[in-house]
Amino acid sequence: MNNLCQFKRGFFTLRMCNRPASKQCAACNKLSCQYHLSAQAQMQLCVDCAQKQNQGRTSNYQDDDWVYSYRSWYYTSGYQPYRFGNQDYSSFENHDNTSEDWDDNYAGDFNDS
Amino acid sequence: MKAIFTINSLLPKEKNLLKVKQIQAEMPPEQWINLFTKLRDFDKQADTSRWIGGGMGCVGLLLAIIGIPLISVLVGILMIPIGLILLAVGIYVYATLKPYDIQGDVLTTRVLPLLKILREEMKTNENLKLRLDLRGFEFPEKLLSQSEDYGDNSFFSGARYKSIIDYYYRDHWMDGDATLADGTRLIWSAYDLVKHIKKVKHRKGKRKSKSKYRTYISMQVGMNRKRYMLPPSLKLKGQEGAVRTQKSGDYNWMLVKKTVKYPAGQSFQPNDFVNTIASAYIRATPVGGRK
Repeated sequence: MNNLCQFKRGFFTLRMCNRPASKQCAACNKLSCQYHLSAQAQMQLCVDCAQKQNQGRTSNYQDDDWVYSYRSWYYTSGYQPYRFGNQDYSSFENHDNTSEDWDDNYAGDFNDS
Repeated sequence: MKAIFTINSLLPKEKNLLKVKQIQAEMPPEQWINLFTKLRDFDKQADTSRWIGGGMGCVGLLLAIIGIPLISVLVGILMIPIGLILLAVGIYVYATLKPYDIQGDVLTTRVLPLLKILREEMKTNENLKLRLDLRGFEFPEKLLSQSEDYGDNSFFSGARYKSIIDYYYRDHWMDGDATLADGTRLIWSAYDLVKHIKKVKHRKGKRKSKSKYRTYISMQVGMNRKRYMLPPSLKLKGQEGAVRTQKSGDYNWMLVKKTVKYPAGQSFQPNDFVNTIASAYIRATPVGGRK
C-alpha cells in the first residue's frame, strides 16, 4: 500500500493529491494528507466527511479547510470540474511564455457595469 | 498586550511589510500562505492590544483628572500617578502598534482565500507572482476626484448635514501571474473604485462616513492549445462581464473584464475572482474530451 493521500486536489480541475498521507479518516478510512484533514474535526475526519457532518455549511474563511467546503458549495452552483491524471501534465513541462506579448488593446469595453 | 512582545518575533522583512503594506514578490503559494497567516495572526493580536492600550489610556486620563480635586486626600495622591502611568502605557502600546496595522480584514477575507484556491490549483513548487497593496484606499495618490460640498450650511434649513462631500478613489490592490497545474496561465489585475461619502452633522459637528465599492477584475486565461479548445473569436458582454477569445502562440487566450458592484459596507469577495476564472473553464473543451 502506498502512503499517498487518496483525495482530489484542485478547484477548476481535479487531480489526485498524492501528497504523503499523515492519517486515515476516522469515518471513511481513506488515507489523507494534512491538507485534507479537517481542523474543525480535530484532524480526525477528512474534509469530505467533516463537510457531510457539517451538513454542507461553508466553513469560515479563517479555517484551514475553508477551500474544500467552498469547493463543494461551488460545485453545487453547476460548475463541473475537469478531472485529470498526473500523466496528463507531462506535455506542459516545456510550455513557453508566449503570453508575454499579450495585447491588451482588444479588450472589451470597460464601461459595462 | 501580547502583540508588543510578539512584534519582536517577526522577521525584519515581515515588519517592513506590515509597515509599508505593499509587496511584490514571487514564491510558491504555500510560502505566501505561511507569510500572510503569520501576519494575519499578528494583526489580530495587535488590534486587540491597541484596543486595550486605548482603553488603558482613557482610564488613566480619567483617573488623573478625577484625582486632581482629590489631591488633598490619600486617594487623590494615589490616583494621579496611577492614572499617569496607565495613560503613558496606553499611549506607548497604541503608538507602537499603530504603524503595523493592516486596515480591516483584508488578509482574512481577500488575500488568504485567493491564495488557498491557487494553492489547490497550482503545482507545489510553482511560483506565484503577486503585487499587493494593502494600504486601503484613503491615500492622496489614489484620489481620483471629489465633489463640491453639497451639504446645507444654513442651520435653520432643517437639513441634517451641514457638509457632504463625495470622494472617488481608485485602489489598484492586486496584480498576479500564475501557471496552474494543467498548464493554464492566469494573469490578472484587480482594483476597487470607491465612493467615500463624508458627512458632518449640524448638531455637535458629528462626522459620519460610508464607502461604496465596485471591483474591476481583468483576467487573462491562457489555455494550452494541446489541452483545451476555446470558441474562436468569441466576443460577448453579459453578466460575466466582457469576454473575448484570441489565439496566440501555443495558447488560446480568454480575456474577461468585469465590474462587480457591492452594497454599502461590502467589498470584494473571493467568489468574484473564482467566477472570473470559471468563465474560461466552462467554455473550454478538453482536447481529449471530458473525463
